[in-house]
This record gives sequence, structure tokens and C-alpha cells, in this order.
Amino acid sequence: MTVFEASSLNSGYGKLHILNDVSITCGTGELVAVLGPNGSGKTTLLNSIFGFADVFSGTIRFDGEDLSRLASYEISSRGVGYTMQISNIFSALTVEENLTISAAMAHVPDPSKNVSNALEIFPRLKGFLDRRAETLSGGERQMLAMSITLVKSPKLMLLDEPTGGLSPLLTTKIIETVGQINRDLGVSIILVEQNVRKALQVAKKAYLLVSGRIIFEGTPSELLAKEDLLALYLGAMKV
Amino acid sequence: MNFIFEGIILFALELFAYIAIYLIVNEGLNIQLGVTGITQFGLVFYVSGGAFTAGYLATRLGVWIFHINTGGLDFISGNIILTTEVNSMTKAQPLNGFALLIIVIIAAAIVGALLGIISSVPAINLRSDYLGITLLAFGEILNVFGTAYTPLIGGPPGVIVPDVWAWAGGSRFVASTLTLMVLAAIAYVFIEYVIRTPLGRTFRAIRDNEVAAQSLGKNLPRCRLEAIVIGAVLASIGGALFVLYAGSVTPSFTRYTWTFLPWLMLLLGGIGSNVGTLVGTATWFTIYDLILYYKFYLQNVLPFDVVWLNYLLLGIIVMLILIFRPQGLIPEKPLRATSAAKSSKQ
Amino acid sequence: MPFIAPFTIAETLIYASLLSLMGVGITLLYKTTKVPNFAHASFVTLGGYVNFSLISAFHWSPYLGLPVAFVVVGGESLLLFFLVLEPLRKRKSSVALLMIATLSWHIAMLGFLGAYADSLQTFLRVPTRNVVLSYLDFTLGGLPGIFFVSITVTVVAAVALYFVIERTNIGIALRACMENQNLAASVGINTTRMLGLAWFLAAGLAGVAGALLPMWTQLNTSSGDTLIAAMFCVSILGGLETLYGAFAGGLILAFAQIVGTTMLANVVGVWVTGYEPVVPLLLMAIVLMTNPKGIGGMKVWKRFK
Repeated sequence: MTVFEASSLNSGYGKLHILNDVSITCGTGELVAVLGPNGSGKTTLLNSIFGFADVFSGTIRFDGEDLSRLASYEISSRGVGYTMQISNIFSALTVEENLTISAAMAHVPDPSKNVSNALEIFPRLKGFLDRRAETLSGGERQMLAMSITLVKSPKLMLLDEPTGGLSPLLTTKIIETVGQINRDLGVSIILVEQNVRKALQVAKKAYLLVSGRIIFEGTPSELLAKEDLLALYLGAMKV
Repeated sequence: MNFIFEGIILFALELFAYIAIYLIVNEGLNIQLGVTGITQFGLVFYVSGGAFTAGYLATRLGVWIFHINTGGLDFISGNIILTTEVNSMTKAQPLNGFALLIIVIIAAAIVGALLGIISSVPAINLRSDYLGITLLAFGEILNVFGTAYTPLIGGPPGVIVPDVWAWAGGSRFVASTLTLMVLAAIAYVFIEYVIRTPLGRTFRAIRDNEVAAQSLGKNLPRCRLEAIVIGAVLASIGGALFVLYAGSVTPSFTRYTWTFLPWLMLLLGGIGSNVGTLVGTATWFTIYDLILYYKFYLQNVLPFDVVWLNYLLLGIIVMLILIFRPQGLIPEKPLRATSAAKSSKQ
Repeated sequence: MPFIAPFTIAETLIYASLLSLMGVGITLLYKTTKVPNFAHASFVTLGGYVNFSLISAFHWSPYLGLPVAFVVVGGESLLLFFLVLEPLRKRKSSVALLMIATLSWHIAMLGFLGAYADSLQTFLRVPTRNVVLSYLDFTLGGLPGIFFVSITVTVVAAVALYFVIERTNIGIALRACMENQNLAASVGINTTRMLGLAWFLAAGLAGVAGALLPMWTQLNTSSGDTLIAAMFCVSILGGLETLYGAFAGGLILAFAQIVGTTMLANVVGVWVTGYEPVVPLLLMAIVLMTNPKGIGGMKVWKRFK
């Protein structure tokens, strides 16, 4: 069952047109990977869903509802969580405050339970609860950023390059956790990633976004079979 | 019949005089704000500078160039006597009047340049919000000095200044308005010229995209300084002319009259466009005179002074402009591109 | 060291309290809405006239009107925020335009307050300019009531602010908005409502300061205008990194302006006091040009966090 659908999306920033006729879907409990070279519009896609980019035409539906009518904070309360690529934590707040406020705004029955659940998935953060978020290392920040989203018990998580700039070890760990969240908690995930191989290991469906257009939609094995596409667009990243 | 006709002529003359004075001041704001993008919330600093220069120097200069014997009189306490003596000289000969006028203008220009340099120190490094506050603070300073330091312009009561158009006798208002209009035209043409020079293009580059301007190798702080100084000189001259036209000066140059109203006129006409400055100034005064006209009728009906309606209306007008038509009446036209940078931007 | 009368110290503390109440609002608004608010001047004046109206028309005790002033001015600021600033912000208007918008609102309010004061004078037949209400004040141990009230109100406000900002979820949400509005929205914070709350609080405090004003000095429709430079100075002195810096800023400016000028007058002559209004202007210019982060941003504060 499709829980999320973007149809013929044209969006950008002001006069800058980035996405051209982009359509993607995500089913309930599905993990969808969106891959592509730098500057192809992956972040713009996620931004468009959340209202941080200007949508020129097309529709964005979540759970049957048209998201373009909603304010960003309302989209959050509908069950969509967004872990951005940068500036994704509140550095001035403590780790605990980061989590508390996200849980509190999520209208869940027991916010503190959600916080402790999220900490089970990223136990490393337990030791930093009282520390200001700006003191965290790169990997810890990513964990916190994802926890902030997790804590809302979202139905759909948008993840923008959660492994950006991390060591191979941490990258593996993060992607594994993403897969775990998808399998065990049943959260639908749209994963934007640079690390093609890792992303395809956990994804059920993959899109290839190049210069604002979808040029491939299919299963991970289908994409891996397309040597030409991989070489042309993802060659440098076929880690 | 003649009487009413005269009244209308005088009214029109005064209207054009104020338009001319404000046009000069507004051109000063335009080159700073409209063309270079400096958030100038302290224009009154330069205007009051020029005004106080006129107040301080006009009689003194008159006494000096006409070789008047002051008899040891102090310029503040003996203000009326000495000014009247200067007037008898300017009354005798148009050249006397113009000589005094020109010297005062030059003095105001020098003072304006100095004030511009002083106020540019923060402008070099601060971003627009901090800069706006700092310049606002500067704007207040001279009024304090004018009030506290009596030898400057006689404290709160102020002083009178010589009438440089006394030679025109009954046609004083015709002479003064014509002079002011000529000066305003000069100011307008001058700024129009500056905009078209390479310096002017740099100003615009700074406003539109600082990073790009820097990459062109221009010395940004220096250019900002030049924009501010040019604007300050004009605003200062405007202030001096205002005092010479009105015949007196007091330390009451308010933020409202000399910072807010120029902004209003520029916003109305369109920020950046030089034609817009002219249109905005003229339009504003037309609106204002309509208000004045109705004020007369309203005054009797309302339980409060009609001047408050001015403030209320003006504040609302600017907010409406900002919300509904921020580009003003005359949006800025791109200049015919001659430099590579400009054409690549298109 | 020249003798400073206890009375001068008392005056300084009153002034410091009022300045802090005004300055903290400016800092709060700057941190949340990213705009220096020129309309703060009319917030103060409005608060003064609200209280004055209650006193003149209904013979209220002078300090009873403080909560009313808080609510009325807080509410008025919401008009400015929602009617004028929000539309401009949605359109991503520049800071300069937002600043001129607040200045325009202030000018319009000046007109409104002027008309109001004139009308009040016509209808109630009381003078509404150069209003001084200190005669209504109580005395305690030789000191005027305003001394105790202003300090108490300021301390209470500081403590309450600290409690709300640091210890409640609303406070966390506000701090989140101050740092990153997009991120705040993405975690479900209604940033518009948070900003509205910030405006209500900031303006409310300014209104309270204004309500206290006539107990200490003259109240005029131009009072806010006279104080706006000092308000910005306090905010800047305190540094725009931390809210509570404004309380320190208030103390510093008050001491510099009152005690400083008095001491200077003892040394060079009474004529110096005419230049007192220049003190906030100079302090502000100096701080901005040497260290824009002000005192709150200096390393010394980081240790206290």
C-alpha cells in the first residue's frame, strides 16, 4: 500500500528550477533509496516534501493527504520525520533537550518513553544527555539527528545522507540501524544516500535522480545490473 | 481676487522650495541606500550637521565677508542685531547674497564630508541590522549638542540666519524657490552621472552582491566610504539650504522629518531608481498638501491635533507600500550594460 | 573618590531596572525574529499611557495597572507581528525592510498615542503631557516606592524568564526557534506561534517598564523616542548571544549615564550633564565597533553556561 506519493513534481528555489517532473512512491513499511550524483536535486526533493523548497507544480501526498497545503510543522505532526543533511541538531540545546522537545511536539502518548526507546537504538547518546549538542562528534551528531526524528514515532522518515562524512565503520553501523528501524519498527523510509552499495543493501526500491530527473526506478538488483548507469552517474561512488 | 491669486502663488512657491530641498536630501539617501544598499537610519546626522553649520556660520561669514563691525557683540546674544546688519548687505546686492549662499554651501559640504567619514567607520564592518542601529544612534547626537552647547546655535531657542535672497525684496520667495530648484536639478544630474560612472556601477554591485563585487577586485570599504560621503555631502547641503530658506534654525531635527520621511519618499518612488527618487519626492508632497488641505477642515471636528493624523497616515502608508508594492512606483530599470560583469549577470 | 549620594545610587538602580525590562525585549525579538525592533519605543510609551489612563479615569492605585499594561502592549505587538512583519517575512524581505516596517509602525503609533493623549486631555480635563505621578507613590525608609517596585519587578521578570526559557518545554521550543527555524518547524514546533509568544513577552515587559516610568520621571508621547537609543544600547551591551545579558547591560548603562555623568560633573563642571543623552549613543557605537558580540558574547560567559 502506498503511503507516500510525489507526482510530476517541479520544484526549486525562487527562480531556480531544480526538479523536473519527478514522481516517486513509497509503500507502507518500505525502504526506498534515492541515489544520484551531487547536485542532482536529492535534497531539493526532500525539502519540497517539507515545504522548504518552492513547489511549482505537481502533488505530494502522504497517507492520502496533500502536503502542499500544510505548514511545515503540521507535516511533522502528520507523522513525517525529516533528518536533514546539515544543521540537523540544535547545538545550543543539550542532547536531552533536543530529544525532549521533538518528542513533546510529536503528540505521542508517552514522550519520555519515546525518548528512552530512541536511546536504545542509539545507546551511545545516553552518556551525553546533559551535554550541549555542539560538543558532539560528527558521528554522534548524526545519531542525535536521527534520534530527533525517531523520537516522534514517525510513519515516514526522510533521511538525507545520514552517513555523510563518516568513517566506513560508522557508515555501516548507521545504515544497519536504518535497516533495523525499517524492519523492526515498520517505519517507511526514503533514504537519500551517496553510498550506493550500502543503500542498496537495505532498500527495497531504488530511484536514480540525475539533473532533476528520475532516470531509473526499480529494485536494487536491477540497478546493480545496469553497469552503464552505475558507471556514468555513480561510478565514483560505487564504494 | 488678486489676494487669492497671490496666496496660491506663494503656496506653490513654497511647495516647490520644499520639494527641491528634500530632493537634494533624498538624493543623498538614494546614493547611500538605493544605489549602494547601506541601511541608512541616521540621515538626520548629516542634515542637522549642515543645518547647524548654516546656523553657526552664516551670520559669522556674513560679518566677515562684508567687513561688518560687530562692536564686540556675541553672535548668540547679538544674533538678531548682527543678522540684520548682514541682511542689509545682502539686500543691497544680489551678488552679496549669492556669495554668502555659496560659501555656506561649501562649508556645509565640508562638514557633511567630515560627518560622512566619521559615520562610515561602522559602515565598513557592520552588517545591515547592526549598522542601522548604529547610524540611528549617530543621528541623535547633533541634536544633543545643539541643545546643550549654546554657543553653537543658541540652544533650544535657536538663532536666525541672514536672508541670502533679501535683494529680491517682494519677490524673495520667487528668487529662493528658483535658486533651490536649480540646485536640486544640479544634485539630481550629479547623482545620475555618478550612477553611470564605474564608481556608480561598483556601488550597485555592492548592493546586489557583495561577494561578486569583492571578486572584481574593488576595495569595498573604500567604495562604501565614498558612497556615504557623497550622500552625506548632499544631505548636509540640503540641511543648510533648509535653514537658509526658513531663516532660522533650532536643535529640533527629528528622526521623523529627516530620516523617516526621506525613506518614505524613496520607497514611494522606488528604491534605487533615480527617477523614482524624484517621483517619490514630488508625489509625497502632493499627498502631503492634500492632507494639509483637509487638515484645515478636520481640525475643528477632532478632539486632537491634526498633526497626529500625519504620523498615523504616514506610518500606515509605508507599511502598505512595503507589503503591497515594495518596488515603489518606478521600479529600477537595469542600466544599459557596458561592463562584462553586468552582461554576464543578465 | 567624589561622594555619590545614596539617592543617586537609588536613581541608578531604578533606571537600570527599567532599562533592563526594555532591553531584554529587544534582545529577545532580535534573537527570534532577527530584526532590531524600532517599535519598542512605542511599546514603552503605550504601557505608560495605559497605566496613566487607568489612574486618571478610574483612580487605580499606580501599580495595579502593571499587568494590564503587560497584556495590552503584548497584544498590540501581536498586531505588528501578524499584520505587518509576518507577511514580509514570508516573502523573505530583507532586514532593512523589516526594520523600516517596525519604524513605520512606531510612527503610526506615535500618531495614535498623540491623538489619544490629546483626546484624553479634552475629555478628562487632565494634563496628559509631562505626566509625573510620583506624588502617588508610597515611601519606605526614605526611599520612594518606585525603587522597590521596579527592582522587584525586574528581578521577578529575570527569574521568571530564566525559569521559562531554561526549564520548560516552551522555553526549549523558543531556544530552538532562536537557533534554527526550519529545523524547529521540522520537529513540529509552530514557529509562528513561538515568535508570537516572544513578541507578546518582549512587548509586555516594555509595557510594564513604560507603566512604571511616570513614577520616576516624566511621561510624554515622546518618551519612547527618547529612550530607544538607550534600549538598543542595553541590548547591545548585554550582547546578543544571551538574553540575560540585557540585565547586565541595564546596570552598566545606568551607572555610566547617571553615576558616570555625576562624577564627571564633579570634575569638569555641571555643564556636562547636558550631554548625558550622548552616553548610550557613544557606548553603543564603541561596543558595536570593537566587539559586536557585546558582553554576553565574550568568552567569560561561556564558562558560566
